[in-house]
Amino acid sequence: MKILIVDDSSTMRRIIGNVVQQLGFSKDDFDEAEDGVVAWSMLQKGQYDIVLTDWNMPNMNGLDLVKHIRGGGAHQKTPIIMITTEGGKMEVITALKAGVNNYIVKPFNAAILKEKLDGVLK
Amino acid sequence: MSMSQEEIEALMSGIEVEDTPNPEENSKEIEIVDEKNEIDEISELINSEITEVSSADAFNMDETSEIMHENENTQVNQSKDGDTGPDKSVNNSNNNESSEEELSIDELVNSIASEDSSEQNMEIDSINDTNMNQILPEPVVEQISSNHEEIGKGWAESKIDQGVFPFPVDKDTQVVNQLSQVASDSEEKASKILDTLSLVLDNNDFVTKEIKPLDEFVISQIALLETLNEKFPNIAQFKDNLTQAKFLENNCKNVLQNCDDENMEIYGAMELMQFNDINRQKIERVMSVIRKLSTYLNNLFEDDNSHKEIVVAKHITGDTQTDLVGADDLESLIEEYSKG
Repeated sequence: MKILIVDDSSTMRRIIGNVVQQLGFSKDDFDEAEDGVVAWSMLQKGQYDIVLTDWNMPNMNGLDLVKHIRGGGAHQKTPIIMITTEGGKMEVITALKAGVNNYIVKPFNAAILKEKLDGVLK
Repeated sequence: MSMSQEEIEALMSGIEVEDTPNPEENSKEIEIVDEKNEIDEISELINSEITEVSSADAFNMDETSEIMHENENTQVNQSKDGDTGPDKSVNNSNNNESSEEELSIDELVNSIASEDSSEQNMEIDSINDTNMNQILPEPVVEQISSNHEEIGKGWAESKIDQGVFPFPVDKDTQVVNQLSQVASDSEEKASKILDTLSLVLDNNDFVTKEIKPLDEFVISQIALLETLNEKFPNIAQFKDNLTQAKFLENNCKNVLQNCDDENMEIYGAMELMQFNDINRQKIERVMSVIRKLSTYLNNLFEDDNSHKEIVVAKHITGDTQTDLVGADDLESLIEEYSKG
């Protein structure tokens, strides 16, 4: 399984990576992108089984990335989990309407991510 | 027979030459005079002249030394003039030799004057070179100015603390700039902390991998020793080794457990570091508010820049300043200045 982690904070990308490793994945199982533009480029070039993306990022934010992915292409059906500090109800609804499969509000732990991953992978 | 001064001097030089023999000159003089009597007369005259000249010279030398002494004590430059007393006395005593002696005196005086002036210049130069830095008041001025700066700085800081003055606008006090710096620095340091935590995780994984084969080997040895101990209960070696193997197995389990516990703590710490990202976003939100507020205030206070700078009144009635003029003061001032 291949995971794409999208976050503008390098610290956050490493934390998510460590959590993913806690769940039994190796370092080779995930790639990192610092914004939506880079992520979109990587999605065009490679094949990923799940996308974990932040919302607030420069250049292209997470919501726009989700819309791009759902707009068509090889990853149109790929599960997307949004991991963000945006905890408002309206934001969650907006993200769900855009096409995310699940939603995690920071801070989170390995158990929450595992639960969400299990949910979308089923 | 009278002789000119030049002839006398020539003869004097001839006599002096006798002390330092010069036969050619003596023979020439003999040829010129040509008669012994005349030579004797001349010699007598010479001797008389020499005695007169020597006495006059002695007198002149005494006077000259006095003059020199006076000149040393007074301004030396006066002796250059021909009308000075000492020169007159020299002229009176011996007019023929006065010019030569005047020259020698002038040379001496000039040399003394030049020596004095050169010594004075040397002294001045040495003062300039060595003590100028101590004498010159510039460092004192710098010290005073630095003291003034310190006093002014202290005064300004006290006014800033009292809220009378605002902070100076520089890179360290610009709010948005400072917040941005805090956010980026925090991100950088958090990344380094993660590096350290990741290193510890990797080391724990290494230890776990190294211990596991050992643990498996010890478990197999325990099984073997238990079998041997059951079959040969009287052999103490099997029993002791079994005890030792169980102790090692327990140690291996403890090490593995400690590694797992430490890994869990590290994962917990990493999860807590998400707050670095959360706090960064809070800071960015504050920065955004400040930027918008700044834009709003600029829009609120800015005009179209079509107006010239207005001259404002410094003292207006109702002000609480002490130098405001009252009606009585005004009248008295007008009256006072109208007199002039």
